[in-house]
Amino acid sequence: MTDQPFVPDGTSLQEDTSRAAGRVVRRPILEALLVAMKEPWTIVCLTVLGGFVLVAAFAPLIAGDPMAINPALRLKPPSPDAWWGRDHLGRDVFSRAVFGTRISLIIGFSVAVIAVIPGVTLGVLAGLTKIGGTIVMRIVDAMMAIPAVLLAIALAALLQPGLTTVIIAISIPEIPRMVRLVRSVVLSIREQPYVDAAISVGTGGLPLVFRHVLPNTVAPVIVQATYAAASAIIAAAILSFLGVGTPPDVPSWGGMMADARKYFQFYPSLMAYPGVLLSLLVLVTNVLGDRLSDVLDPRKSTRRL
Amino acid sequence: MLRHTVRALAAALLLSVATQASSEEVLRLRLNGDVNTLDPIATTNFTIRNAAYLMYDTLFALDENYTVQPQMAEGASVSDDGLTYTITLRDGLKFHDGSDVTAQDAVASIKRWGSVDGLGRILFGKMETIEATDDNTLVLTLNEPWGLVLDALGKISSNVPVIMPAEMAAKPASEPIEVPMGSGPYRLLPDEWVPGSIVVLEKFEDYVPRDEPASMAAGGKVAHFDRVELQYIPDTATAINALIAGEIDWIEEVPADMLMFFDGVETAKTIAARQSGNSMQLVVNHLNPPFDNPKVRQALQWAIEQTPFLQAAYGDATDRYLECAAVFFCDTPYASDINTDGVLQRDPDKAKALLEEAGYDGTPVLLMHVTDISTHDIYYSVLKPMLEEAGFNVEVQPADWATVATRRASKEPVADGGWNLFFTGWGFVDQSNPMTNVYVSGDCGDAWFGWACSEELQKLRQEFANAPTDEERRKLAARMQEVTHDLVSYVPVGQAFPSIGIASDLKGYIDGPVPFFWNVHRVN
Amino acid sequence: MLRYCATRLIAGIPTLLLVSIFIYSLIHLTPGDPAVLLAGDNATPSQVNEIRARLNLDLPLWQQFSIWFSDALRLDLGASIYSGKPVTWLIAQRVEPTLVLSLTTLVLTVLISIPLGAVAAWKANSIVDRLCMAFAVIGFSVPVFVIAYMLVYLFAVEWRIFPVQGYKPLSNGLLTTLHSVTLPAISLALVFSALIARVTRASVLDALGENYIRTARAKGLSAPRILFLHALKSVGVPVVTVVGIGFATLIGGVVVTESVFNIPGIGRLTVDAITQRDYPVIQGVILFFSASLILINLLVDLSYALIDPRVKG
Repeated sequence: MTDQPFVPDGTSLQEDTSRAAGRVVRRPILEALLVAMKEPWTIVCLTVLGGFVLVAAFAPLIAGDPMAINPALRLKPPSPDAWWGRDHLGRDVFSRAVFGTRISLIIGFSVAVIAVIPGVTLGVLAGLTKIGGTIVMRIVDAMMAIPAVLLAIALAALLQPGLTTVIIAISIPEIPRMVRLVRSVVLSIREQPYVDAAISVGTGGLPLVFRHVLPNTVAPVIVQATYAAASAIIAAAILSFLGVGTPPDVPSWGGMMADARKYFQFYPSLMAYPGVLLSLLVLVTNVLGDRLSDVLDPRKSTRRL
Repeated sequence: MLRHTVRALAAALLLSVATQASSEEVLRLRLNGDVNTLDPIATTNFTIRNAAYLMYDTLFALDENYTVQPQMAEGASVSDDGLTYTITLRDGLKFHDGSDVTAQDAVASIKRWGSVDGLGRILFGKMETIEATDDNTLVLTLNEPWGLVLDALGKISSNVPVIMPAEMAAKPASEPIEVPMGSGPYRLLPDEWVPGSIVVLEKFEDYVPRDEPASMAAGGKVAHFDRVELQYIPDTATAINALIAGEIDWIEEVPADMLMFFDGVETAKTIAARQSGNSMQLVVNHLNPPFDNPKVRQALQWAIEQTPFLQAAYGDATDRYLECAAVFFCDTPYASDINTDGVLQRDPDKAKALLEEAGYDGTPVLLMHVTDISTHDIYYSVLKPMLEEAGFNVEVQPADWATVATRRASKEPVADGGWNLFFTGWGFVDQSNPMTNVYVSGDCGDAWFGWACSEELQKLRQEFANAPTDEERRKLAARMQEVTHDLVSYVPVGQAFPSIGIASDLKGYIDGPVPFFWNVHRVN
Repeated sequence: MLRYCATRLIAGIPTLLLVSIFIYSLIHLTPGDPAVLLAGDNATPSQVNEIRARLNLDLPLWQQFSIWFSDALRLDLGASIYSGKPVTWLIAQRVEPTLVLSLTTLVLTVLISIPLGAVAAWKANSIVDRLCMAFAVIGFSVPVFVIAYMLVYLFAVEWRIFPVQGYKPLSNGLLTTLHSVTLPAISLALVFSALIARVTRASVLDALGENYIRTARAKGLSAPRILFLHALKSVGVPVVTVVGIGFATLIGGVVVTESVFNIPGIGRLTVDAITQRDYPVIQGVILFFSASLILINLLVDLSYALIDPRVKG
């Protein structure tokens, strides 16, 4: 583990900007990723994640209608036409779990993307311009002063219920974190003499951003987005648990667990199936995030003696 | 083995943390909702009504035969022309601050109640004056004879005409009283009240119960506990586990599919509360298409049957529900099975034919699927495929109850925030009485949400109020049902009897449409 | 130092103003009407309108906000729409359970995570390390309510060691209180320790690489001695940082655990207020949380100076 390839400097989550200064030498990120891909644990995690993606993509071929209710069959144990039994409305638990994979992946992926786009844009803006920086960071400070979960609950409860609302409610509290991260990276790059020079001779603006700034933010942003995806999947389940999550016509794991909690003592499997699947998906995403952070962030990797 | 060790450890641990040695008898109750106000006039909320009965008293009350009996009143006399009611208060009535209850307090309280309550407004419409002639006597004069004056004053459900001090009753009914005070058997401890969590009451030592034995809301209200705690435990499974573990004594409602929690349990049991039956209705908005067309409304009636709803909500507990299409509830004086075929039977083909006849153009029916109340959630899930099969074009929009409750007040078209259908529930006492049942008013724009319009219904209600004999009233009620189901002012989706969860060592529980906690005591 | 604190606190005021405006527009621009809920299930439309007028809900939004804000400056956060109680009073009533739960969680977290992280670092890349870190990753991959329900089922329903629900105030004695918050604190601590164990491991690894520890190791000092005397000294700063960052996470967890265990804390007050649309309470509680967050961050920064003399406050 000692001789990790040298990769550009980034700023990890828990560190402040003052320590972020360092040489900025760009190196293809792909190459770093290829190194990571050779790790056995990475392979396992990628396989599991790939499995989830396949299940989600081919859900209609794998399972029947997740919404078909059948009150006469409520809470029936597993049978050939409902492998994992039926829930309190007689719906097929297996079908719901399969379609729920879709929802979780959509939520994780969308939140990551939605957090990245405004996050990077505002972060670069805040890092490069003084006035922009002040305004953006004021707003970011205010948003970060509201506990993320509370903000998500408030958004989810007060807006029109729906999958989109859940995604938005979870994404919005993620954005300020992304802005802070990107800004700190940008600030560290600005300290480089050549960037400073480029700014002072007036070759700033968009070319500077695209040539020198953005490429350096890619690595830490990917790591952060992976963590955001993992925590988004959990956050969605928590929203469902509190009754403000995905609506009933969306078969989600969180919704299944929320429905199952009444019957937890008698039909633990109703909560176990979605619970285990959800934890597994979040687990592999987190582990992949760790591996990415190891290969993309040198200070973290060198730390591992 | 492990289990035994753990049990032994547990016992030791429990001993070490045993709560303060107290000989105080505490009754811990879990009502369906939070007691965030104790003003049963400012809201019709049943949780508040139930809590209010502990601390307030009423002039009259219903006994177990549903006849009115004096409670705070010593008695009442009616003049020969039926226009003047003289009510005297019994001796020794005290508010919780020790001051005497006077006739002036009673007059002010009844005026406040009469400004909001449905039956109260009818009473005040027929009333010339109400005044206290001395500290113990109040006199009501009517402008026409009305047989239901004492029934109104002894009303058992929301809004209950409770008596409070005159200065409190001076507040408008839309403004909840912050630190409420009554004259009932238990006294509120305002400092220990944590809205959203707990209400604490203690025995009011100066309360003098009537001599008669307790009979539903009437008779002697004897407080057997030093302290009553109303705990708000939102999660039902948690509440049931707490009841079984002895942490609380009583749960207002155990959902039918959770009765299995009590299998083989000795510390607690469930009782079917037959008197506090309630029913669910699908309310239809008569103002918006497609249900502004009577034929489409009839198609809706034929599209629906009750069994799947009841099965989904109550599961195997078949003794806890009843298919019932009677407008005034089944097993009640005004129950009838006239004109109920369309309600009880389902015929998608007939519905389709009616839709075609009506020229239904596929206008989407908006379902605001309520997600935060479990029964509602289930009912909407069952309703959607039924409507679709009958040829309706359905559009689902998830919502919470708060949103639906707001939106149902709107008379606008659906696109501008109006609505088509929603589910709600009414209790036995409110619905079994043609004077308080909201679906038979036919009051058009002034009616309850849905605004069903029928001059005949309006007339029938008038006649009912003035009908001299029971037989005549029954006939009028049957006709009301006939018209109501023709009009499809709503579609009934079944009647249910909630189960009460109660600690096994509680005795003397009163079966009534409202849970009452006087007379209840603990036996060892 | 005092001046620093004062500056920081004053800098927090515009933040709180922004928070207020943000939350205010959010709750007032969304559908749902507290007047309807207040009137009760079976109220008539005119009853609803009377209540709406009384609550000023018919005034324009900016007017409602300016009324609220000028009161807030005088620390009057208004009153609950439902109970009519002052919001500040409602919050004050709920502080104790939340505070006790959070502190118990913090203590448990430190007891679990610091040894775990230290051992993992000491045995870096061994099986022990892998197991510790696997525990840590699993800890924040399982939703907290799943852990909570499993704990309730085992320890409260099956074995009857702890109560199923509820909170016993400190006035009943410390032991009784702790007994009532043990299960919720454990469920929260499991999640929270995952975070801190990882940071501890990283910091201890860093420290183990430093010269003075290498020397100590070379001198043949025993493992525990080196770990606890030298290496753990240096974990203070990053751990405090994470506690600061984690506080927001902890609040999220508190909201959920308070719901599962029926603890009358601020978390439940918030969720109830949001679902009931009790506007003044939502507004006040979120403001309260934001203010505490700002305060905690200040304390975290100050404690750097105390824990690690190398850092200047």
